[in-house]
Amino acid sequence: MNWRELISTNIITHLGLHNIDEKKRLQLLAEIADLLQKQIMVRLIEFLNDEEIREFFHLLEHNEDKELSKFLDEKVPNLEEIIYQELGNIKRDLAAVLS
Amino acid sequence: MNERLDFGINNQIEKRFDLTDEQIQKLKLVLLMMIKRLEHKAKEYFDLENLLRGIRANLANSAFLKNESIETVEKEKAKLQVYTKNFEKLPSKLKEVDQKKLNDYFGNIRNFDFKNAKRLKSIYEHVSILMLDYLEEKNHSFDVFVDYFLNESNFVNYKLKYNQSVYEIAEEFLVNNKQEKIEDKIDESNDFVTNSEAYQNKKDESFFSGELISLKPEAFQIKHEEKNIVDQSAVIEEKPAKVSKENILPPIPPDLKVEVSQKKYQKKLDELRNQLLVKQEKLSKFGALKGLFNQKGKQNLLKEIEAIQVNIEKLKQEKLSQGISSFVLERSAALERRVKQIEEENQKKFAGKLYAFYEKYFMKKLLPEKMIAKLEKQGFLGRLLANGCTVNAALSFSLFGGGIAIGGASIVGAGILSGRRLLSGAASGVGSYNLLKLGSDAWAKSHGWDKELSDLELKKMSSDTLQTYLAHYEARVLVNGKSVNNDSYYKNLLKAFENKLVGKKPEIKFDNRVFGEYLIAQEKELDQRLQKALVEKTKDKSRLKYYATAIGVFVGSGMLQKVLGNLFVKDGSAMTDQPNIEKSTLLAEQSSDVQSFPPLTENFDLFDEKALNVDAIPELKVDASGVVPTDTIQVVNESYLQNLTDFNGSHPLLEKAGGAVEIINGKAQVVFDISVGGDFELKQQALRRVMMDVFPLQEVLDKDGLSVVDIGRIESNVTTFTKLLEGKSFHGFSSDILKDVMKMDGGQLVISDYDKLAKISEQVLAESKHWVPDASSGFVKVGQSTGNKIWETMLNTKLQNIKT
Repeated sequence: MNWRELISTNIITHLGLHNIDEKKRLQLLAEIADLLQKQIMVRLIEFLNDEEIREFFHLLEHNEDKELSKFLDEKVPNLEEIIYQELGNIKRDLAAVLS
Repeated sequence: MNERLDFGINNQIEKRFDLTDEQIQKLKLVLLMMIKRLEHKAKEYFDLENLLRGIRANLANSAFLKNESIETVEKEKAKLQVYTKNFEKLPSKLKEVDQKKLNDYFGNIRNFDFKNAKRLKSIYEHVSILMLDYLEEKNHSFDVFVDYFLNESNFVNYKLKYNQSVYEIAEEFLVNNKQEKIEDKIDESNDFVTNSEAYQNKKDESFFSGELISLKPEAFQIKHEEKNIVDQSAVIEEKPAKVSKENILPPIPPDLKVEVSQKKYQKKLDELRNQLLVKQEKLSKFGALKGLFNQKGKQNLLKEIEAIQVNIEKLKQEKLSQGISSFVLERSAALERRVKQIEEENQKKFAGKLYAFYEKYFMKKLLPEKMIAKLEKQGFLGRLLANGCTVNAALSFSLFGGGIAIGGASIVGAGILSGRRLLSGAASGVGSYNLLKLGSDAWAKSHGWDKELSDLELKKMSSDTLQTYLAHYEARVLVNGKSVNNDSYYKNLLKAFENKLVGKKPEIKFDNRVFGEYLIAQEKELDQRLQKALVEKTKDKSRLKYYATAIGVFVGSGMLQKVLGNLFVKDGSAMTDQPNIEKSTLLAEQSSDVQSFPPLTENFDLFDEKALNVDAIPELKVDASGVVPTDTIQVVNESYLQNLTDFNGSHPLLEKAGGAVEIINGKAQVVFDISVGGDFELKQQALRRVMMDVFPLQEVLDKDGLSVVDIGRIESNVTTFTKLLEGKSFHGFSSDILKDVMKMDGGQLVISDYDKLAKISEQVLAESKHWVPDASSGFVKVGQSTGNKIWETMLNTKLQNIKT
């Protein structure tokens, strides 16, 4: 499976979660989504310098949504790429551990 | 025991009696660490041994080979190869590890006081022997190893700093430690080919050409760069590490702990599978003849097989669930450590704080435009999510193969093509949706959507609801790991939606005969309603009715139907040349061009009464008996409009709340529709706005503004008037007080004398100070439960026309 296929795969089929009870399945999916967010956030922290992190934090703290959006566009132009990579990473790593 | 080791142990023991407290602590940790490692390796040894036994048995079993696919068999063979290699690398001494003894050692070491030299020696010796093969093979001395920790390493501080477990430190030490003193001795200490390492070293060439994703685990581990004695000032002066924009955070390797727990399940599964094989083999021996004599035995066996199969399935699900949860936990912990590391090593002081905000960011922040555009292309679900989308929702979507990580509409593919076309004309839903919730069984049940809906049910749905239903169905299919492609029910839904859109897009059917007839029918109805209103109401009653009269005069003339009849003929062409149409009429002239016929609403501009030449409409005189002459209308309404404008200007909240205001005999009358779909569902909601409207300005403009006590007093008034409207006396006021002032009339709250109500309200408010003396009053709590946002909105509306 190449990387693009991995990204496009439904995680349910990828990990074989079909038969897990729906409530449990949704809970697991929420956990995975939460972890994905954390991974992306760490990537952002890794990517930005101290001053930029401080600015990011300030914008979040003060709910300056428009400015935040502008900030991310300027400072993290590869945000989509980061999401793309981490999504693939999480799918790949989970499959490796569960295999 | 060889001589060197013996000497080493004695030497160490001698030293132990002069240890400082710090060294004692270190020694405890060293021993615990070693035992833990031994335990882990021993476990690995036995697990591997069992696994190998199981795999070998499977591969030797004809029933297994027959029932399983070639792919599974090949997988088993590959496993056998890797596990055998790993197993051979494990020191044979591990066989001697006694699990129980190791546990005892843990207890002993934890309570270690170094007074019992015999026990110390015993533990030390035992651990040394067990480690001997392993360490000596790598040319390590156990003593040197221990000595390093006691004298050189700063790992105790590390533990305090990063809260790592001893086990983690040991792993890290064995993998990464390159300290000069023992570098040459232990640098090859981690040459086990564990599953995770084998995985990490596996190169997938498809991963972004192998450039962007680094699979080395070291980058995620804390490195021992610190010296024994850290010069704080040196650290402070040290420049932060330069962050390269090209840096890509390496993925965290699958945690060994997860693997261990997974192996436990795997072991149980292997056992069950072996049991299954045995039973299946037995079953195969039940020949037809034997079966006749032993039907009961066969049936029991079948039952047993079924039970094992059920257990296998159950265990498989448990293994998966446990594996995912453990993985998430372990990786989350690793990420936290990583953030701390970044914070310290790169001096990014806000890294931790920002990380703590991750949830806020992802949960609440809206998606950037370009990401929204991507989502909108992905079915009804994508469109629904895009409308109130948070990054979190989009990421959930991405896990299913859609969302923001993918450019196309891979989740829906060909099946949605017609849907995409539909989407261009579909109304957009509003709100923030959680994909997982939207696709859940519980959500389906709560909406009565847990079964396929009939054509009739779909027909009854509004297009907005149907769109939400389509999005729900897409989400539901996704969370069940399926696709809407080739889903016949989904196609049916799309068709139903398409049918609805036909009705919602009149411009497309403007030339259509059917639509023309439909429009005429609608106008007839409007005509009748307005005519009825004209007869029943007098002209000076309201502004709305005044204008309605003007329009009604025209509509009531029947002329509109004639005009419309001209527009839509059976062949779809305009009928302006028909002999029965009077071309001199206003609308006939306007509407000679079918394509430019303006929307219905534009024809009924309520403020365009001057454009209407009443004299030009002969029918007006026919109905004149019920109509006030037009010159009177003008005079009455100029004065009326002024009063109305003045009132609305002073009471913006009423108009905003949907109250219909009229000035009747100089008195302001306000009517609220209290019903589902009306202005309010409860009369309290309307009363709350009225009470806010009449609430004295000086109370709002005082030093504490609109305080919680003020709100409590307003709520007290709302309660009082609610009771009075029910005909009950309350708070010392009789319901008679509202006679000719305010009443409930059917589904309407009718305030017939607003000024008088305001005065009564003042009295009630003055009295309310008895019930709402301070913030402890129950009314204050009621006020707070209404929500500050609502009060703020009401207050802003109330003050909007106040000139400062």
